[in-house]
Amino acid sequence: MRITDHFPLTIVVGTLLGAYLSPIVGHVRRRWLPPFAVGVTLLALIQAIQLNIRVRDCGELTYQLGGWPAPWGIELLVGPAAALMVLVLAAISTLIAVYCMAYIDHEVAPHAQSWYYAAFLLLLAGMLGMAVTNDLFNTFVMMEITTIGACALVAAKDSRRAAEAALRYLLLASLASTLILLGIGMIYMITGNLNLTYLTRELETVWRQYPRLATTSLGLLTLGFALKAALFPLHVWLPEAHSAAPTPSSAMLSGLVVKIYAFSLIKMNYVVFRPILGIVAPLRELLILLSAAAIIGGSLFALVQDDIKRLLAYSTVAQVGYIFLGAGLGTPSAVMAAFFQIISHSIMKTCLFLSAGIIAERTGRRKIALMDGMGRVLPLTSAAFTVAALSMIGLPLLSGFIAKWHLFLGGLEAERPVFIGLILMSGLLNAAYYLPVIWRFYFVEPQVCPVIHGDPAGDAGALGAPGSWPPPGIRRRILSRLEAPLPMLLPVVALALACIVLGVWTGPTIAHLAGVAQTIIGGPGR
Amino acid sequence: MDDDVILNEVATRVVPMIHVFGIYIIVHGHLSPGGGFAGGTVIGIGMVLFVLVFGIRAARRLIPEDTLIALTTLGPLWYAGTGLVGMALGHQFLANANAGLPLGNPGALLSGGLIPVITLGVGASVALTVAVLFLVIVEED
Repeated sequence: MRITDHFPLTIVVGTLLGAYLSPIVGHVRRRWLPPFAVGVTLLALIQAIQLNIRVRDCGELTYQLGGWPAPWGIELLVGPAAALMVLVLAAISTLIAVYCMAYIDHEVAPHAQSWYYAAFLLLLAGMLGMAVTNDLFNTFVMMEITTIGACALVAAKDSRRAAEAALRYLLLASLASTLILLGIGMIYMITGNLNLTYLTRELETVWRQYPRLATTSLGLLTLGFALKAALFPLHVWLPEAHSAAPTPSSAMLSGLVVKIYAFSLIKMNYVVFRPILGIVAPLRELLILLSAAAIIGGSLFALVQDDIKRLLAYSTVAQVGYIFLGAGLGTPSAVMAAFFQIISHSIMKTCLFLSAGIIAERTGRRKIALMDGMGRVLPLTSAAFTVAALSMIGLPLLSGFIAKWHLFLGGLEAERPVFIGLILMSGLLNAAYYLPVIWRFYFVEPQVCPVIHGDPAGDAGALGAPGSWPPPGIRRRILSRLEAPLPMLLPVVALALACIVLGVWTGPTIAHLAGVAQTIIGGPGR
Repeated sequence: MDDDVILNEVATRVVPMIHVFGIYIIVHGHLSPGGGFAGGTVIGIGMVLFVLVFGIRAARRLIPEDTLIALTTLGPLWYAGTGLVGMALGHQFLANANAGLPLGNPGALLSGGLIPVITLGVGASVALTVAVLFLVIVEED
């Protein structure tokens, strides 16, 4: 076997190894930790890119652990959808890891940093595993790894509020895990398979004998994943967890963790339980209703927040609604819109959280009322925030618009134009809570001008040893013009540019995603 | 409690035996009931007994906190490293007999290819996790 044949596995195991190595790296020299984490995520990104090229050229890839053939051994399967998820996960977390290089000292205590990175990489490994596995129980195991990593990332901040939020998150996530395990038990009972391909094949013949068990199992899985992905009435853990966590964790949780559960939910509903798709229409109806409630409710809650990170957290509740709306409608355009929203929201929300993090780190301000004049003090950060926020609202030429547009089309295809009204209304609501922040950035004269703490050039000194190129003098002159250390600024600007690129140059993305959606809802069983 | 003669004398003799028994369970993991998890727990409980009798400071003198934490990660690394052997031999991750590794005589202590090797990793990580969890909870009070 060539080394590239191992990529479906090594992308998970490599990240996992990185997670276990990071306490040792931190033990040897703490300064090596951030570059080490960037290296691990970068390695995952390279493998993800290669996997995508491979899947595009040669179709689905399978990998059998230990060489045991499918129904007995654990099988990994990378199809177009999984490859896409893997790419999003690896790319966004690489940027977050770069951001951490300069940010980590601000919110995570030095002695906790090696554990923070261990949890960070563990979380990434868990999510990558959930994306590539083709085994139901393996999905559960990876999901537990993800949950533990996510809770640890919230608890990493040494504050009472973070500990409380992490505990609440842990309790509700465990409840969701229990529901999912129960669902797995039921479906295993009637099909006798854990491999998803074989399970689907078996379900085609046995569901008529056990229609109730099959539907209950899918219901439990859907409920569990919806709770973990914070679908509206089940979102109670999210705002506190996402706003109390350190900023890189918030970006990870809001940008990626929620998406992987939504992806799993789509996979379970449309691929694994395809044989009973016809009899679980009420379940999808419920998803549509709840997502409509999420889109409106999340935005209404966001309207009344005074803390910028809480506002962003509630906005996630609303935006996740779009994914579930697309998944519930189930037409080709709607499912494609759901996938586009997964990508686009992970870019936008990561950008928003990271720039809010820069604002908090540089000026110590988190309250929206204190954001006056920020556009003058932190021009690049504010510009990136503005681009991402406008994209959230759904302005044309930005990625959020494309997602909403295809959701429109999905609503028309499903012959339910009421959702067009819903999306328009939610766009107005989004504008109602994002525009005041932008307004304050640029058009309000501050009463007390925000002061930048610390010197970006001084902070960035850790980037290279003295004597390296460019010489410290020039480095200082270039960097002191920047509003924040380069590793923090770079991901934010890159993500804002990605919003624009995805919004303008949509052709290839749309064509690719249409293919992905086709494999999810239309294609053959495998 | 430090100068309780009976406790000290009994513990001095019992703790090594508990550890040897734990190691016995781990290395016979592929032959008899038990294995990495059960044996690792037994070893971990031995460490907990040591801390209870001789105090947390004695334990810290033996293994400083940082070292213990770094050691905890060695178990999973060992496991994953064993998986890489199959890959190095040109087969899948965790490949055992199909990668051409000798299985030996069933029932012999050295048999089953990589299985006894991999249980060592499981045992180490479980033992150290039990110890670390106990120390964390004790130190918080």
